[in-house]
Amino acid sequence: MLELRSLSKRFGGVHALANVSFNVEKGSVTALIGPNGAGKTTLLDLVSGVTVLDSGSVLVSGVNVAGKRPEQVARLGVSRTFQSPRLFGNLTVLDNVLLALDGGDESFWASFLGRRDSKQLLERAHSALERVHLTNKAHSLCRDLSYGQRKLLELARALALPHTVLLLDEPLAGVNPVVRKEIASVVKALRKQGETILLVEHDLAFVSGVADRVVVLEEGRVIAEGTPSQVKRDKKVVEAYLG
Amino acid sequence: MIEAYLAHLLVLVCIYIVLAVSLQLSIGFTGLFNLGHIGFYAVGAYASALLALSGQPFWLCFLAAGVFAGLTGWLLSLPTGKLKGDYLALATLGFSFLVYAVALNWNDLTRGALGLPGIPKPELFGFAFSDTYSFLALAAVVAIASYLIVQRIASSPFGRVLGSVRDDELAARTLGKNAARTKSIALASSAFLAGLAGSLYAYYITFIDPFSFTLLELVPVLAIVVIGGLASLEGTILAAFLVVLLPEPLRFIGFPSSVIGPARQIIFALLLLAVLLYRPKGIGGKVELD
Repeated sequence: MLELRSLSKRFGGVHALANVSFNVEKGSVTALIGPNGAGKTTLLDLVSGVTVLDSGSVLVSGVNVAGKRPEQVARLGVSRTFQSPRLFGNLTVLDNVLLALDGGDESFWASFLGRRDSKQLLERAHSALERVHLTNKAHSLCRDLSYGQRKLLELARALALPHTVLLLDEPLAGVNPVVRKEIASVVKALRKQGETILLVEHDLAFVSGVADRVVVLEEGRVIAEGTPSQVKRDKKVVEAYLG
Repeated sequence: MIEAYLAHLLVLVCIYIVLAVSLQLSIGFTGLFNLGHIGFYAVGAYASALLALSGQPFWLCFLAAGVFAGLTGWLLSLPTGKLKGDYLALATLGFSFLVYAVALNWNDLTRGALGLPGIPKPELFGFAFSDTYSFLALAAVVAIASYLIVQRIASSPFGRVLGSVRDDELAARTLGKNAARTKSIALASSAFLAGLAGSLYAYYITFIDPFSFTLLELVPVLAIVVIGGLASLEGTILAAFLVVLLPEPLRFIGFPSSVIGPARQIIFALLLLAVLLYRPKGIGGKVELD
């Protein structure tokens, strides 16, 4: 479903990623772990086209998206969240989700000549919000949301975008235990629904519970790969990450 | 007499409404810090005046003003597409100087500093808008139409895309939105309306020269946008009345005209200061830019 083949990226003299290859199978959850600065977020940025890679290829359902712009990668089926949520602060919660759902809103003339949101689209947007319990906030501005609510909304928005692969960058980071539980349960439910997910996360307990496979990065290289229990026993991982 | 003077002021209010409402489309709704609006206004005024002087009918000159300015806006959006915030402001500011320099130096076309006198009064379906009152009716129709057009764009699904690009361009792109194209359309439509304002101005004054399109002219337009509040069209219209009408009583106090000009600038400055100090979002400002 998602195949990464020898991805490399340098920032100046630093090898952010060196020759990274692994696959994310259809319907599975792969977790990417590693110490700070290992290149986890860079990897998500390369896959989603946010950062241009130096070499390598990224296959999404067999199509190479390497070197494509973020909007093209998104249309080829890659949806993502960011470590710190990037919402549209002056728009309403509902509008944020509608933007993800509505692929036809970029036509100026259709809009000018009277295109409005269909009832069906609004219903889908409301059910997307229901999933993260934000229905009562539908008409609030995003900039008025708490951090946890922002995380939840960004997750709902990423899910609303038609996609084949979901990239989640530290979905549990920085939120209080209640929201943490809520986000964790949404991600677990996604796994049951057969979503294909690549996720970056530091919380190893959560990772062991939700991931089918774990890839460990250190200084831009894959140092271990396998099921959560295999990785936990790996000596190199224990040295590099668990200390 | 006093009625004609009032009608004259209202014509100016209408022209400023068209300019400010269209500037809102780029600054307030799309987050493009566009300081080249006077350049588009000038392109529209010159296109319209040159065509009118060559004998073309009003409707054609008027629409051509919009189309020429819109094309200019679209062209300007291509090299500046990747610039953000202050950098875009500088680039578009440079563009308005460029337009001014072309108008001043392309003597064969624009007659340079001599300007273009004798622009005929507009005529539509055999009716001539020859006095201030009928021109006011025309200008009011254009102002209301501009307001409705921007309102329609802003409240549509496309307007939502504009807002997403304004608030977080990268996030909009990761949702599959073509931000570059969206910004081009926004700048082109904003410029189109500024071009219409330029045509109105040329027809109204019947004479244009490059000095009508200096940076100084941007000050009241920008003041209207700031005082009205970003992305607030109702606030913008109210602010247009304020900014045009507030300095007018100066004329009746008996100041010499050499004082009135600078005094107007002082009033704008005080108005802006008051707004920034006591109501930073303006009259009806809806959005916060980073």
